[in-house]
Amino acid sequence: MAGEAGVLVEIALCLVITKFLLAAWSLLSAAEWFFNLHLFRTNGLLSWAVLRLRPNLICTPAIRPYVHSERVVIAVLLCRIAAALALLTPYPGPADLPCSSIILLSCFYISRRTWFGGDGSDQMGMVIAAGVAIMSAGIAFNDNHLVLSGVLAIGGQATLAYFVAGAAKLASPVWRDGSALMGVMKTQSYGHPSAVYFGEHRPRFCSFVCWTTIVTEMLFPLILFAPPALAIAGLLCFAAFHFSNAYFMGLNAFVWPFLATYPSLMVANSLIRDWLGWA
Amino acid sequence: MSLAAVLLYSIVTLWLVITLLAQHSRFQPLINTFNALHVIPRWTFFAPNPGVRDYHLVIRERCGDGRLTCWRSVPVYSSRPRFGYVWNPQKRSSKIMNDAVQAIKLLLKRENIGTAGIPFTVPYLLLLYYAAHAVPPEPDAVEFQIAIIESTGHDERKLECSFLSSFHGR
Repeated sequence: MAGEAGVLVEIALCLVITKFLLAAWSLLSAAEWFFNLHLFRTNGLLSWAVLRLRPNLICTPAIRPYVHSERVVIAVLLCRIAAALALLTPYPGPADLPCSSIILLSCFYISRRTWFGGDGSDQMGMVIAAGVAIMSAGIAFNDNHLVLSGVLAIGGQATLAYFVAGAAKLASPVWRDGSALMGVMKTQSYGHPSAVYFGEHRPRFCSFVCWTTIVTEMLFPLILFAPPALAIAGLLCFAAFHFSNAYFMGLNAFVWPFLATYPSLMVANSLIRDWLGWA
Repeated sequence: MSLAAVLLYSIVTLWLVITLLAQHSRFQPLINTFNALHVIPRWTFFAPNPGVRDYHLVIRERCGDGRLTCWRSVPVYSSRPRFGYVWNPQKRSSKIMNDAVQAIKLLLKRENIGTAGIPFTVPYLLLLYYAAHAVPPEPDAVEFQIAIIESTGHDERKLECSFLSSFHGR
């Protein structure tokens, strides 16, 4: 009984931290899209005048121009902001399910409307919104298994994300020989002058960073089995990795959705260790 | 266990399995056919081929007397702000440009599209349309052409023209 109560507290805490970080990402991404509204205008880089020509559009032709207009983009972003603000309650509440569902729908809409320009933070934001919606539904209907399927969704996608990122780098000659790091750092889009200044004449250091990234990302699934203190230490290292990516590569929006996966990973760690009898 | 929980466990497990398969290029064409909402993520960040180039769009015009103007830069994205680790909206324009160029390169390699078919594709039209509107025309311009310039390196940047469009009416 006490163990079950402990799990419930752990799950409630997991949901609260996850939804706070989801709200942070939603506010940041919506604000950055607001800054980029010019892209959606007739002469913009995401002009509907051209993007309407792409195949497999979903809604009927008669309403497409309205559904994809700048006004609807603004309305969707405002809904995302309102939903994110409503998620900022320090306890699981009845608004969590509709708010996370609204954020999820806004992810689908922006992804369809933009077609180009989406990144990994948008993908993980969508995963977190789906996971929070499932967990909130479980809490609303008092169904622990439903909550745990949300934990499985977030924890599973996070584990896949890190492992696949590491495996894809391992398959790449430029990652294995260390030249990928300087190659990326020298770009204007994702690079940083101080990183180039430091790393340009230190090929061994670059190789070390590349191999550290490959090995740690591929070993990420071990977080699910490690003793809790070690798992937390590991996740803190990955959090530092995301902050450094934000600083050096400008990937500021990746921090929040990826950090939002960590509470679910810790719940999964606890459940797996319990099941294996390692707790 | 409730029916809803069984259903959700099954859906989430299926989602994870399809996501794992989607990371391999062999399964991507099949998965893309039902991934209209991008619910199947791709997690191969910066790998296997990391982006080591910046892409720039340039435009030139042909005047009524046949004279060609100089190439002019099409403003697509500005440099990263000082506090880009907190606030970096400029990355979207840069990513759109990168995605469009990557799409053009892939389409050029496809046998059923190639050089002849590329003017009828959405990424090409997107860049063409944007360039035509972002840079005001010369008074006597009748046609225009765009090019994609790739740059590498930091202090000594190397420039390379990777794509040159046909001329289009202004």
